[in-house]
Amino acid sequence: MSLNLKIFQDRVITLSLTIAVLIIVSSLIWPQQFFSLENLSLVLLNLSIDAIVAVGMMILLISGSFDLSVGSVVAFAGGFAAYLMYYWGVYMPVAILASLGVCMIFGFVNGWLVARLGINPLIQTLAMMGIIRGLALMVSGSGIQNLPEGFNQLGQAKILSFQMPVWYMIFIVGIFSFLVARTIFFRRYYYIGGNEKAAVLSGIRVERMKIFSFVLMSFLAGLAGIILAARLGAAMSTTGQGMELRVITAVILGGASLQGGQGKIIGALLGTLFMGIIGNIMILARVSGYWQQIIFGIILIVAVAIDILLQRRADRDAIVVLKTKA
Amino acid sequence: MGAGRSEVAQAIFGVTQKEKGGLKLGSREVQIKRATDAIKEGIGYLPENRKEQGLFLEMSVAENILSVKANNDHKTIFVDYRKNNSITNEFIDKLEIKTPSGETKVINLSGGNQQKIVLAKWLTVNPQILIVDEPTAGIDVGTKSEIYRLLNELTEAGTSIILISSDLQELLSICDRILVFCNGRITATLPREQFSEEEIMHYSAGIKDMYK
Amino acid sequence: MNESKSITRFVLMALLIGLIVLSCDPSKGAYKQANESENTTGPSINPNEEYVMVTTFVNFPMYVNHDQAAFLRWGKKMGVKTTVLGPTEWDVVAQIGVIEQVIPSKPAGLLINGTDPAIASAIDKAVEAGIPTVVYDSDIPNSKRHAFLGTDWYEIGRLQGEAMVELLGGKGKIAYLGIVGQTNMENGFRGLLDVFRKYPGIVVIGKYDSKGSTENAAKITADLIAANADLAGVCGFDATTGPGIGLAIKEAGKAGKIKVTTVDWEPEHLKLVRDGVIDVLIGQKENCSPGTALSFFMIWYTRLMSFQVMMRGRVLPTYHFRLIPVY
Repeated sequence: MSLNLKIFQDRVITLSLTIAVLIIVSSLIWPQQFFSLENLSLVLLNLSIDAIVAVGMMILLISGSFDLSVGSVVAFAGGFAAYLMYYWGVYMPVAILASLGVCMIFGFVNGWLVARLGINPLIQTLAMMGIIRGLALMVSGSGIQNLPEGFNQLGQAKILSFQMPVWYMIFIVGIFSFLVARTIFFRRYYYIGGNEKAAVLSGIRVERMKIFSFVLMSFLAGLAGIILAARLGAAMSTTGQGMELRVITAVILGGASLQGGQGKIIGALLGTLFMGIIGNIMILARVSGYWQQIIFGIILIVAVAIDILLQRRADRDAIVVLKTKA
Repeated sequence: MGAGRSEVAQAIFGVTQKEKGGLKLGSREVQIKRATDAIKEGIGYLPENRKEQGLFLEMSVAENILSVKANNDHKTIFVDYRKNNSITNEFIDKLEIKTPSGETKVINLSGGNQQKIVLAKWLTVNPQILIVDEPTAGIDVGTKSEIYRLLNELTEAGTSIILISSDLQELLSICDRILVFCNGRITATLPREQFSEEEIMHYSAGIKDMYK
Repeated sequence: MNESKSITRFVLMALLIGLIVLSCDPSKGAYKQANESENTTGPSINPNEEYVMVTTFVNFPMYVNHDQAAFLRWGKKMGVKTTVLGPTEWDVVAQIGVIEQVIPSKPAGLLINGTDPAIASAIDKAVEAGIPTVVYDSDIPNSKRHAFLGTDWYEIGRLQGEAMVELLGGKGKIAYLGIVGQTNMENGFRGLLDVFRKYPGIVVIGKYDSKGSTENAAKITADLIAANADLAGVCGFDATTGPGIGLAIKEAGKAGKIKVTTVDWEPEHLKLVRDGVIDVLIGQKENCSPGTALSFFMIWYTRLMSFQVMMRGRVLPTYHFRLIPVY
């Protein structure tokens, strides 16, 4: 019994199973509409931006932190790159790199103030969210269109019937899954999230690691923003509003915990995939937008509640095993 | 307690910043700004409060045992799971840690076994100097003697151990030399032949001069 | 205490009853009329057809009460399925996601709120998938949309001007009426005058304030006819001017002699068109634009131009929405 439960305790497995069930049921209900390459590619395209941001958010949550400014960074990155290209005629790769560079500075400011000065990440990134949104409005205002064709191709070209953002997402999720699971550097975030004081005493340079995680987060959010601008062929200052909470929801569904120390990168993808599929089902079922929010809320509570119950059970079992052994 | 022992230990280890003063290892002056530097110099620190400062309770026995070795190995980039497994099993056997497996979460183990894990994580890096702060607080008698045995084995193998304790019997029975602290200052250095409960009590109260 | 309780209860009851009475749709009669006039003209539509409106901020009251209400009403009238989809916040990216994900289910028509130029690529995808796609509210000119419908008042004025010039053969005395000072009307006037400026034969007598009332419009028109025997045309800009101008012209026995262009598809306007009083109708009220215009769009799309055929006067198909034919 305890062995069976142990499998279900892994969110990656439960979420994969849930997604599989959703796919099977939806394919039966809408055989032509849901179960088509076209629909799959559109679902993936529309979750790709969130998924890229979710990768960074997962690393932050593993280390016991989070960032609310990601949505603003998404808007800023696209806007700033577009601004440089459109108004100043900056060569595309330079504009992209410059924009990413500025985003990383935002991340550094977040990280430095949180790690060094000890400002609560909620307050720090909430303040930064407003500041960066303001800057995004300054650079892109009511929107910038007519971006260079080469730039738009970065987001609109297709390989094997999937649009580019899907491939970027797969690439980023793949790389970070490997790095976080396999490198000593990224494994340290589990220790930091597990017990920060103990991590310091174990010789981990926690402040530096934290700053890096915020810089990485802003880098990924910036990348997502540039990919989004390329995909839309336009920069909008309103993009990414409400994204932070959506991404945090997805990441928690994917197995992260606000206390830190838990989660896998693949869980970030599965969390966004799950929300993307639910969203797609709602569209196919022609369910109004309000329901979507209600359903996401319920799913989040159910998922976390099940987790807590399973955890309690597992802990009890572990103690029983220990006692019988001793 | 409150005599500044833990603070001095943490200053040596680099977690607390020292206001003034230097640190000499043998005859060599060393600069320790953070825990990493201390570990590089072969200093280990087993903190007083194992649950708050020593352990990653929600993580596995293996991850806890490896928390110092893996994170201070700056030459390796990738995690070597097979090697980690063998190290974990080696220390589970050596310290007789009672756990169903290396994958069990530390939170599910008893206090004594948890303390052994904190000790094990320092043993993985073979420190020259190990500062142990109240290692036997809140631990059953059986495990206590096991920990004394382990500390003895360590000193025999050449590790210098700085034991911080307020348990007088413990100090008198296992130490070679006792430094008595009062208000953050060393008030006496007593070699083994001068050990006596009274003496230590007096020095620790800081009233030795008055007494003489 | 007890008494105040019962008073409260009574007030609540009264409010409830009042609400029920009010919600009994006093405008139903008017709808029926409108239905009759359009149902007789509408193309035959398969009731299984589904039309999807995709907006952003779906619960924004102005959208719910105007655009969405008109669209749903239109669906009921035409006997087709209608669905409104979109995020609950102002989230254009999510709106794009919804548009894209609606495409595989191949609705019979898509009506898209033109919230931001960035939705162009999603519109193009729908068009490329062969779905008749109409943009409403604001145009997305850089997209391949089949049609746009929205209130472009300058355009309404311009089209009225062109229609009037055509009706008069480029010369004659005209006057125009509307609610003076209202921004949208002023934009319309600007469009009208910009056209007339190009034709020296057109003499503009002046701008008159209808104050939004039929009586006023009728009175002004009667005075104008009395004062100017050679009055050739009148342009009306708000919904009340049509019936007002029509009444005055009919009473003066000048129907067909004085050319009239005005706005909106109200039933009484249509009647006046049939009677040969109003020559060209342009524009309509915002609150029924998307729904009604979609029906026109669909009519056009199925190449059933019965609406215009039936009219003795002309209805400019391009008034609110520019049609870009797809073949």
